[in-house]
Amino acid sequence: MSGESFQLIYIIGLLVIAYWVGSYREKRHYQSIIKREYELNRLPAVNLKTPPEGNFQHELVMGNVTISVDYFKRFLAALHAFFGGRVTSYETLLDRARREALLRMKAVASEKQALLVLNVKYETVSIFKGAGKNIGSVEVLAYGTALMAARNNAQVS
Amino acid sequence: MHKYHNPQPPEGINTSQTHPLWVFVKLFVAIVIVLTAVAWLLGQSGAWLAARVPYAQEARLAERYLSDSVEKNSNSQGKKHPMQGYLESLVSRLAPHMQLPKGMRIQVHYEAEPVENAYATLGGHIFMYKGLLAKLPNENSLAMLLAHEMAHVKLRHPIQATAQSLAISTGIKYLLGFSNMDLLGNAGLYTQLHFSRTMESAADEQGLQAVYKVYGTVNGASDLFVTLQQLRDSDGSDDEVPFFSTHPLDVQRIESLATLATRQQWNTTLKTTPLPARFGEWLSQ
Repeated sequence: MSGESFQLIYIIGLLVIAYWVGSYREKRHYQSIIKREYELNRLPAVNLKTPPEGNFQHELVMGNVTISVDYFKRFLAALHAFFGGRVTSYETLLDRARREALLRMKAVASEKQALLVLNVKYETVSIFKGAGKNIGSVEVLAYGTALMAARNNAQVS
Repeated sequence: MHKYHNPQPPEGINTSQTHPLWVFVKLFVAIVIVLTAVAWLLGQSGAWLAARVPYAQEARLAERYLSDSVEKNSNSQGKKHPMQGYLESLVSRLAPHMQLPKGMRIQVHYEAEPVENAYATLGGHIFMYKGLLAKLPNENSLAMLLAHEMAHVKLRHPIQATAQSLAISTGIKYLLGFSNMDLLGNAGLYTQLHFSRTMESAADEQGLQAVYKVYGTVNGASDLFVTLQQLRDSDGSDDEVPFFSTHPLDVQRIESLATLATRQQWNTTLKTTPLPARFGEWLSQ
């Protein structure tokens, strides 16, 4: 078998494995995200900066996640980069990363028995160490100010 | 708390609903079409430009990149290999009948390696390997092999094929965003040139004409292709016999050369010339 044939089979093999494993893991991740979003829906996280009236304790809460893009998505993104347009292969990656980061932030706030998370913001970083223009992994940090009931048991209205 | 709430957003609003495999197929087919068209255009332009490079310039380029392999094989311990001398004498007999352009010098090099190959490359250098020579049945077929390679040189095929390869690889790499390109650093490029089938057919025709003029017959010339066909059949793989890689099918070559001989009314029946008596001995040295 010539070197070129071996290289072609190697790339096709990687694409097939990456697509199969990547799709399976993405599906599982989305199922987990939807389930936890439903569970944590009782804790609002908003981007308003003004706290409601009342007496609260407040604390910075954050959640971050780093998700790597699989070989298939990277290959597809390279094709997208050639022709332009929506890089659809990265849309699910960023969607999952933002929702997961927010969920982790909410989980931290929930442990602190927060009533509300204010001033929620995202920071997104592409981690591509040495990979040129390719996006290797993406890190998303979600942070906000958690409001907890003060000792006098204040209510948010 | 009723003032603040996060409704569950509907799924799929931030992601594409098109199946990724369908997107992949569409983009892949599109890029293959684009790259093929670009490669063809680059290859044609490269070959067109290369054919206009003066031969002296090509020879200088060849000296720069082929000097190592030429020195290694053309002269061992100051004494010329008898096979080398024989091949040079054949070249001297064929050259006057090939209408080589002024200043074009053919330099044949005998390679005592069991590779079933022979090739012409930049600067008029022709490399003949022991492995292929050992399989040839008569001098006519050997002369055909040499004349075929000499015709490649005469028609400037090596520089055209080199420029074609360079233009395609450079263009495609540039298009795909590779920045670290070593344009002329790959010496292997010049020893593994791929000539198109059109080039091969042209070299066959000019080679046959020269063989006819030297021997007065084309009988035995097609034995070269019979031998190559046998080698192909016995190996069962093109990889093992590099000479075959881009050449037209041997049966087609034999047929087209027979047609040419008939059209030109060239003799096809005269007895073939045997190889020198010590040919086998030279091969084993």
